[in-house]
Amino acid sequence: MQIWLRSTLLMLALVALAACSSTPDVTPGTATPTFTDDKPEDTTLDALRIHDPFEPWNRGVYRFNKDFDDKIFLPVVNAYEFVFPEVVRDSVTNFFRNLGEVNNAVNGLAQIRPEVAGRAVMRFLINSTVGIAGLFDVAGSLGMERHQEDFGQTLAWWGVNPGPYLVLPVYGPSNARDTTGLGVDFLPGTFLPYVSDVNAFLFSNPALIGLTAVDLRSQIPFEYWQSGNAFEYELVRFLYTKKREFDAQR
Amino acid sequence: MSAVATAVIWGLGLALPSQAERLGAYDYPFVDPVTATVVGTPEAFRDDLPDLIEEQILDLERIVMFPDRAVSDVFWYNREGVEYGLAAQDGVAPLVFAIAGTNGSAISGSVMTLANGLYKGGFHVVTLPSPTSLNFIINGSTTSVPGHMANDTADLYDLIQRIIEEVRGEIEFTEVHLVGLSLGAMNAAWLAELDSREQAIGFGRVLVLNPPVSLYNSTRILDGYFEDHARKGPGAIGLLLSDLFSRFSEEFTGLGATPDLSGDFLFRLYQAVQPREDDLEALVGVSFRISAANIAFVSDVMSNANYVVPKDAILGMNTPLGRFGEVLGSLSFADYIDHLYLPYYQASEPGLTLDQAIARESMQTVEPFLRTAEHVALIGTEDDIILADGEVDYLEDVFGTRSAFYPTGGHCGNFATPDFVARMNAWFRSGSAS
Repeated sequence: MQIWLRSTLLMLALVALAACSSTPDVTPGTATPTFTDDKPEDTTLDALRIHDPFEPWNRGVYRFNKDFDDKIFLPVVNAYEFVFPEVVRDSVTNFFRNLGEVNNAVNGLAQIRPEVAGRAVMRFLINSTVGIAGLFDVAGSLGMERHQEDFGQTLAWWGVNPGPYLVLPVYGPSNARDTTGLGVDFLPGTFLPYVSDVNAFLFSNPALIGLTAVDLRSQIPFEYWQSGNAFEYELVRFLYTKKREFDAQR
Repeated sequence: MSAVATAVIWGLGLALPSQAERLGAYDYPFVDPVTATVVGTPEAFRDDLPDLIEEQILDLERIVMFPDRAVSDVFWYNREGVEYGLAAQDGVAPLVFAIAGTNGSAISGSVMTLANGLYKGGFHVVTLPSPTSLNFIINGSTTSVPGHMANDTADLYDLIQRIIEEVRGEIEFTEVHLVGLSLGAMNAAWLAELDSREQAIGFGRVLVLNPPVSLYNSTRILDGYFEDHARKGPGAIGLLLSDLFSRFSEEFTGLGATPDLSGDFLFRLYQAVQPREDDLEALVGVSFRISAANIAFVSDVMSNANYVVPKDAILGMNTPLGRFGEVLGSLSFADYIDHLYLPYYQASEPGLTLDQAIARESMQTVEPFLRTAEHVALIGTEDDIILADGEVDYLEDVFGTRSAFYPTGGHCGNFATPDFVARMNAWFRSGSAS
């Protein structure tokens, strides 16, 4: 199961790289434009300047992600949303979130925040027993809200600075720290008894991997290059980076 | 519900008044017009409307207007034609075209609110992008330098005719009507005037919502919101954005979802947080600045204007654009008019001055037509932030008995209220005016 997953991701990465092979450079042009410098007192868009040394590559992956969305991902998501009523889709979401509580617990502990870890454990136990294996968010309705932690945030807590901005194939915006975190987040599910059995079941069936992905994508309202703004890439980069800063503070 | 509301409004003689009407208090919570503009209509005050996008009722279609046009790779993601939205009723119904506001695509927030209301009212709806939108500048504009009302009107007129031919086989419609919001409202007024001369479409009824009177005056007001805040000191805007973002993040509990982005994304950002009035004005200013930067950049590349992108430069699919964005961050919409629009149109209209341009891109140019056009009506707000002093009175004078002004609602803030939806649908339902 791991091999299948790894080779799929590798293939996606290679396709993304191929998509990025076009050169990004500007052909310089023949004149000096009317306006070339931002005025010193204005610093609006200086705030948007994020460390992005791999920008042409990142833009290429951003483009790949849009193509992937348009041709594969979103048609499936639209069909999923059209066919399944919201109640059913909520159950699917809750199921996967319940499994995710393991990550939240582990990372809460790694950040020396036992209250976060404790809450995640309680949510997992309540939902797995009373909530029929996580299909109903009973803990949530009892007032124990989800608090999402991941290894990227743990690294941030421990002071690892974000490193350069990265756009990942399919996953979208990230940075070096959070990408490493993603890799680690797969691990906890492999050693806990109930969770590893469920994970083994899930990953042995490609259709269910697909369902995880489709479920996740259907909850995210973002669509690439739908903003109608030529500077969307810069704006997403800014928002993502700011959001991760504030995630790490919570 | 809508039939009842319509009947009530008709019954009370409020649909289209016998004299120009300043409407009384209605169920709308915000007295401050900037809050109204930013927040719109909160949940509790909204009419029960369908969501044409969520419910997959609206189809996004494309139509190619200039098949031989070569478009720079930098716009690889949006060069396959003008995008319009089509929401069809089952069976026969009138068809209403709805034009988006500044920088707005066919599926931008405000025009979709109108579409939702019109669909509830039983109309087929086609939503159109603004001539100032990225999609239209690239795919629908002859010159790619928007703000020239005569050209934008001609381009829209061609587009609407083409779309009518496209959809004729798919939907059964009786009459064709037209509505526009904000700058789209001025587009609609100019379209009605053009249609009265060329007679190629024959709009049954036209509705003009929260228009500017003068494109230049209104954009100066919005530019001013940004400049006032930026003047407070270096980094003032950046600090504001950081502060807003942290307050928003505390409220936002999505699964790492990225907010959808548009010229008005900051508007929606603020629906989750309790804002200060100063912040709101600055927010409107920043949002408009982002829109202006977008318009100027797209126009510059498409028309090779040497505004911020060097003349004849070739930009690729993966070219970093940050440095152009930074320069544009310090340029206003007025700069676009003065240093891109004006030189561009002086080439074909020698001696064109800025004052002449300012004067003609306005409702005044079509005022004689509007005064006597019985089939064109206006709904506005007395506290519309884009109108300068005296402009509400001016519009009331021009539209006469065909105008109605809500006391509150800011700029396009009340489109989702039951009163507004019923009033809009009643206007289109009541048949051709003589």
